[in-house]
Amino acid sequence: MNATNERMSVFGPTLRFKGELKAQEDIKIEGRIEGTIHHQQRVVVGAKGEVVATVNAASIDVEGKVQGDMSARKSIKVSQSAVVRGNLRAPSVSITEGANFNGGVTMESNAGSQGSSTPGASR
Amino acid sequence: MSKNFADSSKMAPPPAPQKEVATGTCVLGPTLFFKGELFGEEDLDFQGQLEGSIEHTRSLSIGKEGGVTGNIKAKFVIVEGRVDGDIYASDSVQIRQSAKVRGNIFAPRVGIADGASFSGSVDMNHKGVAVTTRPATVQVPLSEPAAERLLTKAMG
Repeated sequence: MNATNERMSVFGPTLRFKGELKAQEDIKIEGRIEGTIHHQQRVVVGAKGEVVATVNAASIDVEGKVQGDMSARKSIKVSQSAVVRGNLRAPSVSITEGANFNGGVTMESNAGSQGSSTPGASR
Repeated sequence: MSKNFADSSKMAPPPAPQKEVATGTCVLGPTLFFKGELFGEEDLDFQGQLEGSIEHTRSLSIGKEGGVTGNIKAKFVIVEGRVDGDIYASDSVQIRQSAKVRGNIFAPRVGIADGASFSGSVDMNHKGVAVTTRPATVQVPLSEPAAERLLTKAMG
């Protein structure tokens, strides 16, 4: 396909979007998104990024603010500068010390099943 | 020490244009699909698909692979792709050869290249295209006591 690393879409810091975003390429979000994000590749929420949305992607890196649930097929990384409120769901989740995180973590290999059956997580 | 550093930085090639792209023009790639409202205050090269509206305070270019279904407001608009909807620009609109536009154009300056597909009307006298920096309608609901006070003032 295309060299994803070389041309990563950047959603710039002054951009604001309200609605539904779908994509099949890596994207870095430095702006503000409200709504839902459905992604087939990697999503990076940059240090200036602000996301109030449900995020689905292959892998998610958070350096900015996210309010909402995130689920990834591969992994979720929460960096030191991140502020996250919401639940994380991925086979591998990492939270760097210093990050501000409030929410639940579910580590499942099969994150594709849209949360219909969560055997161990009854609260 | 600092001299050496300065010298070495002089020797170094100028920063790659890639950096400029990252900070200057923002590019949204061809597989992106937006449904909703997009606001921006920086130059934007849009190659994806958008259903909804775009409100922009600077230059906006709809790339060859880009498509917009909805109205566009910006300072400069350059269309190389498809637009179904009205285009409002406070400065100018350029319809390039590869463009397919269905809708009306409101701008003081409009250019339509030979080969472009355009159906709609052009209005160059449309003044007062207010490109708002942001919807500055911060509606703070009055608290009940405050509202009451206002009401009693008005009555009295």
